[in-house]
Amino acid sequence: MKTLTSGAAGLALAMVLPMSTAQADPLTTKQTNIYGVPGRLIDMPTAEVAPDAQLSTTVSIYGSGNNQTTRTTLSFQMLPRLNASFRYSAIGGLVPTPGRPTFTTLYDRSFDLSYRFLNEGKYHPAMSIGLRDFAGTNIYSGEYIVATKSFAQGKLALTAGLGWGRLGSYGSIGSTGTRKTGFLGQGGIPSYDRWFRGDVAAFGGLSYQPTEKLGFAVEYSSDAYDREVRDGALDHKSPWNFGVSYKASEALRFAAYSLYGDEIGASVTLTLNPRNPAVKGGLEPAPLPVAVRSAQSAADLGWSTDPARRASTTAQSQETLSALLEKEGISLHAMSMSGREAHVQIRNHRYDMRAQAFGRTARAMTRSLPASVETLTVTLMTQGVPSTAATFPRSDLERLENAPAQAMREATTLSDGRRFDTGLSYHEEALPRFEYSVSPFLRLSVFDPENPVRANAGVQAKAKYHFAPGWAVSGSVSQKLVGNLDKSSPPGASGLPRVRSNVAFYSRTDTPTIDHLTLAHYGRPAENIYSRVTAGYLERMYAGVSGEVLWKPVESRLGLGAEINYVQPRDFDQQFGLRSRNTGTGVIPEWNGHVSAYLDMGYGFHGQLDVGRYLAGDWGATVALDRVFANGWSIGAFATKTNVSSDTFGEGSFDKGLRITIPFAWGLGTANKRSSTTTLRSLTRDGGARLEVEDRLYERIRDTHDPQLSRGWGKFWR
Amino acid sequence: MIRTAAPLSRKLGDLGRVAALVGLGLLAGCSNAPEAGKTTGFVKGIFTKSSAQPRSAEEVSAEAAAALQRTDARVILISLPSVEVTTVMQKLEQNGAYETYGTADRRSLTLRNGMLTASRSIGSDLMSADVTEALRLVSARRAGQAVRVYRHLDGENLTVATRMRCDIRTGGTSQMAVGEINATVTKVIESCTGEAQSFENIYQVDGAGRILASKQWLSAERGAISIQQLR
Repeated sequence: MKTLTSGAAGLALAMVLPMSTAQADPLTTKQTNIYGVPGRLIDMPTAEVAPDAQLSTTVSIYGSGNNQTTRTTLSFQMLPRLNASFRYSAIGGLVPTPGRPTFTTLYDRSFDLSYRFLNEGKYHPAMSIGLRDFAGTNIYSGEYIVATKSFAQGKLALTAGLGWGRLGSYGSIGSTGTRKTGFLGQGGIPSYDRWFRGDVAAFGGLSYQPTEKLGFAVEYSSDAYDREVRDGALDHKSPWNFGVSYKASEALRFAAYSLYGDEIGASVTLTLNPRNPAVKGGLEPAPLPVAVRSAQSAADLGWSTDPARRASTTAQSQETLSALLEKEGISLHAMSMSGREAHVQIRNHRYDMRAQAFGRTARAMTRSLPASVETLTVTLMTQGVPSTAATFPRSDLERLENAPAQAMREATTLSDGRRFDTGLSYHEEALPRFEYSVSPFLRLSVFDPENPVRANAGVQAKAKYHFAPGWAVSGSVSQKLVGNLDKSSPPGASGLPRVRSNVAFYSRTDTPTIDHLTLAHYGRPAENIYSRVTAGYLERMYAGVSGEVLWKPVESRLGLGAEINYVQPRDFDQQFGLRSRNTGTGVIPEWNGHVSAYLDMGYGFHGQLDVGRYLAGDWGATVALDRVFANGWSIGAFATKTNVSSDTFGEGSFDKGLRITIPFAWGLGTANKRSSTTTLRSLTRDGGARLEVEDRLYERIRDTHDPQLSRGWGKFWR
Repeated sequence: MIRTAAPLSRKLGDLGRVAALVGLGLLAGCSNAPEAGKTTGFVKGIFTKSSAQPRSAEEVSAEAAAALQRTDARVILISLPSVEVTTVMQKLEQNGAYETYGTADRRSLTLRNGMLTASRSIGSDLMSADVTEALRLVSARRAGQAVRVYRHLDGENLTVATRMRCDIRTGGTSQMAVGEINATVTKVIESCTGEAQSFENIYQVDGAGRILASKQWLSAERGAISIQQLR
């Protein structure tokens, strides 16, 4: 079995290699099977893939009463050939294993990976290798190698494969060594010691698409459902499963199944693709065109030589520009102008694609500044301090308005806005500024091992006061109205102080809570260096002081940062009080912090490494890898390993999770700076936990810097 | 007041996107921060279909007449069958040979001697186009072959260039009397083929080589747009 296990290692390597976009392929499908992974069969895997970047959520259900099983699967086509899935299952009818926690319904998480190592050819099938439930409790664990060939213009697809684990449990034809039982550590660790070991069985199936909307499938399943049969959850009468599927729309599909001659099941699949926004290019209002100067007007410097005319022209230009920018969702922050040059600092409220904010501002400048001003510089302000500055020759704006955006990118010089941060006159509304908002909030805890969904809902009021350049006082107060987040019980004592595992206590209070109340200063101490100091009630659970520095040149792929925090735990009622650092299981250290490296690796992948001391005083590192799309979508995973053993950490062995960021602009079809990030993480434990501070530096400036800024340059002229 | 009918923003939200937005906590609230209200308005827009009907020919011609009276600038009448929109645009700006026309609700087209080179806020916009070869033949009302390049933004906001090979041939002449236009025009047909699609642009060109009326391809999603000069 050496060759097969090295195949699995090859898969890990192939994950990081770039691959070209898949062409129209009859074995590409948006349909998923009962496990929620791409494929037109039922229980069995195929060599089919989803369109690149496809994200699907499948909820499937089979059985009834106490024996009902529900699987919710999030599946992502990470690369044209590589698919990763996360599944949360509620399995009914199983008898708890002696020595393990008891349950009536077993809530289980599982991860799958599949990699297509061979695309379909005229005479040969597509072939994939995959791991099902490859880490964790192994309840669904199985590995496979599968081949699928399409016929009749893709209407017919024939699949045959070999399976191990669950997929080798019915009608085995041989075996490759012995398969271990039990799992590594406290679960959650890839169970490489059992992959492709034990009994092997053959499986196969046929899917048929008579019309675009309708599909049928029949399969011979190599899964004997051993544990379910043993525990009396179901009868396995036949290895034959049947399915029918219906596509209600591009986004929505339904399927119904007949399973092992005894049960029926159904599923619903919702798909979306980061590459399919509501409207390509967006529907935000058209920009004002560039106003072209006449040849002789550009030479007229008369206004700048006479002090009186200079003052009135400058004031008038500033007023016109501010009014034009206001219509574009941009605030003029500060400005300076001489006979040949102008510099403006702007606060961009609208454009998620920062190149578009540059493009709109540059055009407004052509419509408001004296003709002699040839060099236009625009600085994006973030957190009250300058980030990227873009300098445009005005004649190039005139000349390239109807050329490809790339031509304008080549005519543009990017630099650190700090260089231009002198001699400015602030716009009257720039400082001080006061912002507030009142909105409902929803705090969710999903896919908990005890309960699929818990939530608190209520009202949240936020306010922020910018009183000097880079300085802000900010606060947020919430009132819970309904919720059951406090119902989760903290896990048993571990060898660590309770730094996060008692989070439920913080959801218990019915009085108003201060979510954060801080004084923050953002600064630019040197070229390419950004700084932050935040003091006060930093987050729901901790108060203290947090300091951060970041080195990130505008055009660099690499950023380096360091953060140090002094913390004291807050009272459970989240008002002004603090509580003892001694939690009964240990003492919460006052100091924690990290050094971080951020790298845009190209090909749309972004990596982050944080090394340091975590909240509980444990030392270790967090690795994160995200696929980042030019439009702001980001899908990735992270894992933290510290010097805490699996046994001390508890279930899951170490902290890990998935995160998805969806830019609102993608769903709304119009420019919008907001986005929403959802993190699915393993159980809240005390090992590998970090402080949550508002507005960490890198995330705030990343979109204003290259490479992400230039990736979105196509929107400069939009 | 020049207005486009609402269907442009219709049919935009599909189920997956609505679910993503609602599921990820796009909740209503109040705020004094700039742009804070923008998201809630759009969510309402996704859920309640617009009741605006495509306007009648009389309404459109009244609007055209009003526009001609109000301004001395050039005025065009455009129609986008794929989203059932007909509206009037007036010339806003000139940059060399490029003329930009727009509506009061900020949608615009850029034309070079009547040939479409860009659109904004129409949806799936044409960002820019290289039309020099095609324009030379069409203006001269001469048959021949031209290569043209269209640039659009894809779903990730990346620029995608589409290269088309076009065959240009001429048709008959006719008399055109629309708005303030009264001219003898020659029909010119341009058949374009590219890797993924093919389409036909049709032009009515006057004796001076100006395109007075046309039906031109805009983008794969939006199809063709009809443009009629009124002055």
